[in-house]
Amino acid sequence: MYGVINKSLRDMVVEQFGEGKWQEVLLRSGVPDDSFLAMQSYDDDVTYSLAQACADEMEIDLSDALRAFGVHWVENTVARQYESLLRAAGSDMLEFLSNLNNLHDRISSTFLNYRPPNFKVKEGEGNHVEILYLSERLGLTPFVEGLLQGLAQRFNQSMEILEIEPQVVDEGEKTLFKVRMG
Amino acid sequence: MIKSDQFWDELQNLFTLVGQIDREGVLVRASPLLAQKCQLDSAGTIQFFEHFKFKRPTAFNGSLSSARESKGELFLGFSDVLGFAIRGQVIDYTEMGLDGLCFVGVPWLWWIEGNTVDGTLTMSDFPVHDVQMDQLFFMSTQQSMVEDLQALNAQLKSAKQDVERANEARQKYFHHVSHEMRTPLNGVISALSLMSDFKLDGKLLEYSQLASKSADRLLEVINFTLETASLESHMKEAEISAFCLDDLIEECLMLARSRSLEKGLELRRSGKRGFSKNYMGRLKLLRQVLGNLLSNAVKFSQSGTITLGASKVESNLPQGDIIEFSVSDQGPGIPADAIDKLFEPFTTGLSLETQHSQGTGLGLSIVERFVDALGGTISVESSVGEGTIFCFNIPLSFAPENAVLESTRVAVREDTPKFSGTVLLVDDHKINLQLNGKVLESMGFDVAIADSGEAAIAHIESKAEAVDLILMDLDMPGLSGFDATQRILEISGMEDVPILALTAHNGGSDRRQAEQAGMREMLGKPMLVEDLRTALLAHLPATLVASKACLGSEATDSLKGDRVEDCASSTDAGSMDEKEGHSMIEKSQAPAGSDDNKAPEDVHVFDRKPIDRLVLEVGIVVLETLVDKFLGESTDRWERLRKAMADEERNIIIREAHTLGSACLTFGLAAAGRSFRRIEASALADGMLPTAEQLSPISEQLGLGIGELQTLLSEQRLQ
Repeated sequence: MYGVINKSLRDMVVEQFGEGKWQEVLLRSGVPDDSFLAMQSYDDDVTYSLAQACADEMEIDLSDALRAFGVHWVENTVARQYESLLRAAGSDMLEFLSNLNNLHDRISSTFLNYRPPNFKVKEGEGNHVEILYLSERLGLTPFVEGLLQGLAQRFNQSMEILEIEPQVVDEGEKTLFKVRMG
Repeated sequence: MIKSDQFWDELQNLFTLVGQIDREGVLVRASPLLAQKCQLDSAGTIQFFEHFKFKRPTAFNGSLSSARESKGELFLGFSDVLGFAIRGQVIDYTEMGLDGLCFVGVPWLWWIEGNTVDGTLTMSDFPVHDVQMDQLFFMSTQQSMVEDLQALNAQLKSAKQDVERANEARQKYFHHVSHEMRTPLNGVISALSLMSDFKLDGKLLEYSQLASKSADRLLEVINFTLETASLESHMKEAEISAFCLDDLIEECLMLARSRSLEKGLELRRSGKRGFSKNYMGRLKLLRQVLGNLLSNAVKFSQSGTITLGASKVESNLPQGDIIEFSVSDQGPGIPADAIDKLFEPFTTGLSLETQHSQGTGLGLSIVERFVDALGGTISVESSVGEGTIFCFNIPLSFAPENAVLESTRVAVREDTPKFSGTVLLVDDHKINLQLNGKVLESMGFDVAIADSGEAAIAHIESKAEAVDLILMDLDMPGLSGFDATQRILEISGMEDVPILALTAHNGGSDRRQAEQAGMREMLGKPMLVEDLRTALLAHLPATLVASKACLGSEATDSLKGDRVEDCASSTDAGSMDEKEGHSMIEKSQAPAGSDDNKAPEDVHVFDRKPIDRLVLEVGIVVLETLVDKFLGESTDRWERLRKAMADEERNIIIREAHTLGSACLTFGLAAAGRSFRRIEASALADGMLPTAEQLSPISEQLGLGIGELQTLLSEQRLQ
């Protein structure tokens, strides 16, 4: 993953718990240093190790840690650094999610090691929406759950996740989020 | 209408902004986004090329014909009123059966981002092939990247400063601790040395010798620590400067010459002299390297020739040369198994016993580090019983034509008066003879020496050589300087030879007595070189003076045979012949003058100024030799003084206190020098003789002073 992800994780811990706690997380993770550069590609293990160390240090489940990170990613990192893109990608959560694949495709033309997830949005009746998440990576469904919550807040929409349904897939991860928009 | 609606649809698939412009320049049809932004439905007739201000193409003048001529160029247009901007191209629809033009393009994102608060654009306003959104993402991320790098740079800078501060503090601490340890340790060594003068026997002698050896070894280790601590700052301070390589080589040879002469070694230079250009480089480091290698060669050689070589090596350097330096000797050589460890600290290639007597062995470790810093690598070849050669190549860039050259000691001396002729130096104190003899030699004189008034007269009467000037110590056993002067001036042919007095006393009676004896001037002891030079200029015939500063080539002839009055007066000096005033005498006593009235305990134990002057005049190598001799000789004199005090031998007390005081002041041991002077003065008075108890505080003053002296010499050696 790119350094911008790891940086965001560090910022979340530092903002919420202070630099000292981050240093403990870093020490626990075994990652040698935290001089992450946004545009540099790092091994996925770095991000997984840091996330696990966060959870262990806070004495919470990894899924809770990833969920919190998903919210932080939208509310802080994306909102601060990519506000223009966020604005251009949609005026509400569903429009944004519909454009997200397009946005990821564009990013892929610049960041050659970029392996983005894929989202499919299917609007149903009664404000029910199905969001299908597919990724080459494992274990990031809680992170996406946090992302959805963060996006709803960003667009001032209410959203309730009714069901998170893991689906069988040969490689990677595939999850169906069933939500109801307010 | 265009021939094919299908073609219009395809254009809209490719571009979000498509506009059909008729032969009058009117926008007659537009894609939804362009129609919306141009308010096509409500704005009436829209002259498309007047609706926007076009930044590009630069040659475009807004007319339809100009637009047609600019086909294939990028159109960048904006409208402050609409808060919208476009980028794209103009294409000709003629082939599609339409008499007009068509604009195809996309929103100009960067203008909109930079000039509107909310452009209200969405991703669907841009075709998928358009890279502006990619650029937006890239720029946003790159901004983050720049901030990351700036933050990292600040962290690195801060960390670097922290490390430098810590390193500096560590060095200061090492230096301070080493210094603080060395000072009392010198007291211990001095006391142990004094103890050895007593008749010790059995276990007491054994323990005393053990303590002495251990203290000496400890001092070496402390010196090593101190030198190591000084090394980093020394390397850091060695800035690049322009210099004359020939001068540098001569300087290094000059500094090594005295010690090599003492050992009967021949010292010479190999390689072609006269480098055609001056060079730029870290002069201090190079000087240190050559000095250390020469010093080692002299130190470890008992006979033969030592050669310093410097020559250009074939190279492709466009703005400089590769210079190969070599220092070879015909000394004992280094065993093959010791070569590999030669550059490690404390290793000299000698047996432990020999090494112990020759120093810490830090020199080659420093040399290797300095050569590395100079961009070279040092190598060594040696054969036991035949000799050793050290070689290194370093790149040196050419100095600019107008570069100000760093002064080498050779170069400095070229700006000061040079003398010729023979000076007879008369002093009963051997160290004074050697030290002042070196100073006179460095000025260009041949020097004859005599250790008593009687020896001086005998030398002159032997007519072994013509004497042009005499420097006469006043206080000598046997024939005094006054009496010797009178008798010399009575010798035929010596009537006009200038005799200058050397004295540690500044009393008016000495001055009058010297004048009556026929002496021309009085110089204080320790002798200040500037005072000596001034006096020499005043009293020597001009034929024996060749000075860039005082004599131009045109002036030399006219001054032949005359005394160099102008030069002398320009230095504000006066001679006893010409002036009744005391200016010269007071000036000549300057080294002691400021502290003369102070009690010894109010004077600093050490005054570095005399050492700084001596280093400049005779060089660190000679000075260290003389300090060693002084320290060795002082032990005997100290014992004689102590015994004379116990036996109430007034004359011996005066003699030894005088000599010790004079020597101490020469080497900057201010407090001890004053104390000896006070003992001498007390013994010269007719009252009670000073007692041995008075020596006790002097022992401490000596110990502390010698510690500081040795610290300064170590520092000077590194410079």
